[in-house]
Amino acid sequence: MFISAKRNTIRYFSLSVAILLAMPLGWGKISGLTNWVSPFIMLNSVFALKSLVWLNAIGVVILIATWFKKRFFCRYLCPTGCLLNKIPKLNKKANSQIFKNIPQIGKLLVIGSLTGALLDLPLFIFLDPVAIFNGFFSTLIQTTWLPMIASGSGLLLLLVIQWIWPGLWCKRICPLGGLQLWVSDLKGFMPGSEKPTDKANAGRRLFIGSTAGAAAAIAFPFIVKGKEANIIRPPASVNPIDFYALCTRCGSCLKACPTKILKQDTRFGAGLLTPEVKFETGYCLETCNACSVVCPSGAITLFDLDAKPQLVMGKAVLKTADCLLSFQKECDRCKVVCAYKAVLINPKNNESLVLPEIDPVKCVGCGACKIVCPKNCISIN
Amino acid sequence: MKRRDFFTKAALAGGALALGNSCSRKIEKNAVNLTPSQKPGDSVAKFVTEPARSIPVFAETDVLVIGGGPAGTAAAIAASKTGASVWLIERYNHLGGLWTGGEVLPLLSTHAIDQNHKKKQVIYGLGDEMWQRLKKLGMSIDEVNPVIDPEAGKFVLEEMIISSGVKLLYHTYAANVIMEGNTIRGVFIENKSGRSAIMAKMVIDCSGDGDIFHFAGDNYDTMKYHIGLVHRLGNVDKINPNKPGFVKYPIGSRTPIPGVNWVNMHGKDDQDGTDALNLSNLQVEYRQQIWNDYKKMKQTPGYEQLYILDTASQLGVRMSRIVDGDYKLTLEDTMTYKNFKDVIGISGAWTPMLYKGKKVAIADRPLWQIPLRSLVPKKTEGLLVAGRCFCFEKELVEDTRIIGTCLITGHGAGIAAGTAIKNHQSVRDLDLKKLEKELLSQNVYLG
Repeated sequence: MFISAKRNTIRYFSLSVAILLAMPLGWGKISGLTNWVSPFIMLNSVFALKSLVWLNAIGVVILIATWFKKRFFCRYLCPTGCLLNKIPKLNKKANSQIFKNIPQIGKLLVIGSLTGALLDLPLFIFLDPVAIFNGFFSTLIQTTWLPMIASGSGLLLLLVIQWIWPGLWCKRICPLGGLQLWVSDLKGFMPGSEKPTDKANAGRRLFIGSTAGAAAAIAFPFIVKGKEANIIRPPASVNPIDFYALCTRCGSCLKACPTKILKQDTRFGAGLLTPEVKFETGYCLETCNACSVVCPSGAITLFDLDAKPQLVMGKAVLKTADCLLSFQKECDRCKVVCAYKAVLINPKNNESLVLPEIDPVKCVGCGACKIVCPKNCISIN
Repeated sequence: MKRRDFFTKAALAGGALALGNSCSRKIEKNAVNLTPSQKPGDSVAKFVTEPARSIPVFAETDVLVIGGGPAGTAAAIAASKTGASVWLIERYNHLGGLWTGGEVLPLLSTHAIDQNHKKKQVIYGLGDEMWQRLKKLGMSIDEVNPVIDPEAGKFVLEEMIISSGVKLLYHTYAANVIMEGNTIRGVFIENKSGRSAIMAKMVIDCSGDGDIFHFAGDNYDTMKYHIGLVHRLGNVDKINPNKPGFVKYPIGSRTPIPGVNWVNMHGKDDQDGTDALNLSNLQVEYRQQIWNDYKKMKQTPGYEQLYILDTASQLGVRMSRIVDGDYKLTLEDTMTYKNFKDVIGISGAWTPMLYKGKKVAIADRPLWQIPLRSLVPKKTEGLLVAGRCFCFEKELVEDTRIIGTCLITGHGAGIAAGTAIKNHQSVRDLDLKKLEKELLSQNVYLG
């Protein structure tokens, strides 16, 4: 396949930028910015949440560009595609002809995902190549083996597929490729178009894809119900079931989090690789909304810092038996660190013994009191 | 009728307030040289004018230390050691303030970790000397953050004050400052002998509540915090848990005297420690609480021999005013081993903190330097502030308000004042080399 020098330059540049942005370099709110370039994530997010954020404009621009230039994203911008092109072939003779009879799975995935998105559950958003690419770099911030392997496996799997069946992912399975093909097809439907289009085929695909997507979206809550573990999501996350579907697993929130409290869920199931909050040494800063800014799909909904007191992640629960105050020792750490004034330490019933009380209305579960407590007697549920 | 009454009274009160304020301003303007600055009436509606009168000068001295708590005692001894003549005034009948009379017995923050993550003692100098003397008397337990006996503490501190040549005046309040422009020239004091004045080249405000910089008109932050009342229980060793009907109650923490525990009280939150009526009400309420608890325990099988040894002679006002100084010590400074050219001492840590969203456990808390500038109020000349009201960020309060840090800031302020007088310099442009030399000669740990 011939690729012009100019196009190659753009591709490598795009790949380098994508790597830099995907690396956990502590760049905060621009972590994983490449995710916003993917029109597939953008459309799923917009369909599912029925709303836009400013950064979605990037995806919209790229989508429009594909109208004018077929597979524009694949040809110039896709970091995954650029990487896959460099993979040597296992079978030297193999060429793209071997999967001639394989249907355009990507096109079906797009329709399925977007139909599901209209029902709030874009079930195939995690197959977005840019998200997979970004997710791979989350391995670098993992400290334990299991999440390291899990978050790296997506891109590695694509590389293996490319090695065995070169081009299979890009040309047949990739939903982002499928989306671009649909845009090109749409052009054929335009009145006055000179391009012949297989209208019957398109209609069939549309029917199969949308029916399957809708059915999956309807069935999904019943399948995962009861399996929801008691996990704490980042602030302003969508409801638990929607979160499974909407989260792209790109790992941007993990990279953006200044206190590193976000970890990937490694339990096998619908929530695999989704971010969960683990309060070990850090807490959710009252002055931060980085995860909501970087989340490309809106699984963590963008929020204003002023709104943070309303965004409940969990509730702090105090086990008073171990509390220093119950031994009449000097301590008020939980009260002092609470940015939401949810911890009160005031005497009652004319007794000198005072214990902290957590106001369940004001508490957002940010974890500050939990981590500072010298006796570890606070948990977030 | 009632409403009209209210309005009339409000108008009268407002008028009186305005009148009172304008009056005090007038007095300031008319006086020529030495003028007492006025404390504006806060919520008092009625005023009377105090007739002008001549006040006898009780003493003239190099350094005048207000308050004989850990900071004031250290400051007075330190200044005296530099060769300055020193007067120390104290409102109660003992030294040590909250440490002894307030029965807040632990000397906290004696240790912290250095840059090599090694835990080490940081409280040296006078604080360490007090500690060692108490240890010799068998009146200090624990090797890190030791707990002392209050009566032994009063005795040891007094011994050290007297032997260092500091002149001590108990039962005396600082009533107002004597200003000449922005420079403090002395303090009006009030006691059984009436009102008199002590003139001084340098004044060190170790009042805890910052009464002096408040009178002098410096800017400050106020902090309403919880106020408690400590008490001691006797015969805690005779509690019998094997008696049928025994219930486990908290009985505080041990002290150097066997069978005697000290019981800390968190108390009510958000209290004004400079409002006398509030303090008085709290005192009554807290003593009731202590006795209620005691009666309940006494009726429980196993506690028959328990008794209340004493309640502290002063309320545990944890925070009140924080002066606006030349340098505001920040949480970041204390977490990052910040070095100051004008360092006067190093303090340690005793409780976990949050820094940049992360927990810093006690075992990871760094030692931290205190600069002289944080003891120098912005406005007033000739005044130093030591103890819990020096200039720092509120986030730091857990470490700045405790006995260990008070001993360090007091010691540093005393040396700075003494060195400034010896070299005829103001504290603001003090020769830092001479300061360091004096600090080291008095065994202050500077890292």
